[in-house]
Amino acid sequence: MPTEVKITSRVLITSCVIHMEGSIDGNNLDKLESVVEPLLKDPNNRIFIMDFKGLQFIDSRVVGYITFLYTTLNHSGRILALISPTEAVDDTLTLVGLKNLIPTFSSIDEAIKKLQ
Amino acid sequence: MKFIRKSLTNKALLIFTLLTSAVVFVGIILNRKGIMDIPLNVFLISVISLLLFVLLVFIINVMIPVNRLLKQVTNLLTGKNYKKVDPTTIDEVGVMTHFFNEITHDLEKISYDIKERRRMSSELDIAAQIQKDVLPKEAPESPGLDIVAKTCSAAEVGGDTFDFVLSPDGNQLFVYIGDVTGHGVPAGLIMMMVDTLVTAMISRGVNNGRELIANTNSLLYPRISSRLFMTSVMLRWDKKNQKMYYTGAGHEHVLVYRKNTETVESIKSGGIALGMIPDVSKIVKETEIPLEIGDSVVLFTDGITEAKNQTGEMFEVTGLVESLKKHGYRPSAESIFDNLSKDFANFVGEYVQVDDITMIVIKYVGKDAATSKVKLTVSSEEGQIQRKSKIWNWTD
Repeated sequence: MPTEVKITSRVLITSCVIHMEGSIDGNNLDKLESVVEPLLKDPNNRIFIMDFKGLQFIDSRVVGYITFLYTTLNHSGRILALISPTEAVDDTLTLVGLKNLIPTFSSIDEAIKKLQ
Repeated sequence: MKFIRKSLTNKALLIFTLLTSAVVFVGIILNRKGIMDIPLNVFLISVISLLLFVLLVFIINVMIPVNRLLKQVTNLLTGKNYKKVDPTTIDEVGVMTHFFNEITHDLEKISYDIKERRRMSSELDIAAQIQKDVLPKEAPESPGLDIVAKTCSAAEVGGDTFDFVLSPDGNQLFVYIGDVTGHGVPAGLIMMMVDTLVTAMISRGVNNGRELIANTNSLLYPRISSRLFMTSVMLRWDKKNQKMYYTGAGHEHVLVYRKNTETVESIKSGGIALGMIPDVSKIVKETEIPLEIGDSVVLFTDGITEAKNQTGEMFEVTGLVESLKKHGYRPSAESIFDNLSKDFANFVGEYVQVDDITMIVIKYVGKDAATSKVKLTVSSEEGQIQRKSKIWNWTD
């Protein structure tokens, strides 16, 4: 069964939010990459917030991409934050150890307030 | 003019029209001059000349281009060297010439692609064999433990690994399982790097899981892309004291079947995957798994828990836990392993294996129990067609 995901983004003053709904795996990861890439190129985007509220599943390729994003942003003094991952996604991120690195918040406002 | 050049029929019609006009014109002139009789030789010469003219036109416009094309088509069909034909007209013969050139160009490309694929397939076979040779064929006998370990890769080269490494003094047995992001050649290369690092460090006296994981990570991190990582669980079996320890590096849970209570404990392995950050020494730790005789430890990769059946349901850790609850009482690691595999196979049914699958079952049988050699199986799915049609199994 092909996995489907809907990804949208919006840019705030010094941050950007990427909303995801559905499931992402190696087969449709390119959709996320194509949304994130232009945002990465803009140096004004200091805080990247990934809204995981609607995301049901991610696989190891997606975890690898999140790690890459974290490392890339970290090297340029920028921050990656996650919002409310669902239980399944939270389990995956915890298992792999990413939650040791990337802060998680319950809302976008909370994330922006605490990270700015 | 283009109208005439584009079609042989139009050319023929034009020539016929011109000739007919010429004949009619000559007839009119002769009639006006009152010449009723034409000498036979004049008549014959005129007719023969006309026919020769028609033949000449036919030869130039049809026979020569067609023969030129036919020669190259014959060469192609008989396996000889052929060459491109320059189209000199834009009529039907010109179209066929152009078609021949396009087809042969595509054929050359396809032939090149096939040769390249064969070469790559042959190199993949070699890489797969190298990887099989690296994976353990047998493991050191470990008094107190009954072990079965099997892996099956989804492609020619896999990203799952496991190994059994004895410390130089023979007192510690390290058992580890690992899973690199994705599968195929990139995952296989990283898997082999890690295997080599772990084996080298143990041989140099690193004697606990935490140091092993931390050191492996620090050497691996600068050498791989930030998108790639490897999750792992390292078990350390202290033979002398009959104690087991685990160190997690972002891997799946460690399942422990408790014989006395017939329950399954699902332990989060903890830590962080190898290759994500430069220094994991503050995050990973080694913890004891207290074991009683009859208890079993199961390690696995996410190829098992993320396997789906035809309705899209995943097996998940809960599937494996339920299965272990049912079969953990069995007397040998092999019987536990086989029954876990049966439950898994029944769940996934006709399934296209999209990820590597590895499982290790370790039963603690006590120091005095006789143990047989560790059973290991390494296999890979053989071809795309077979992969899609056969019911999932560990062996080819």
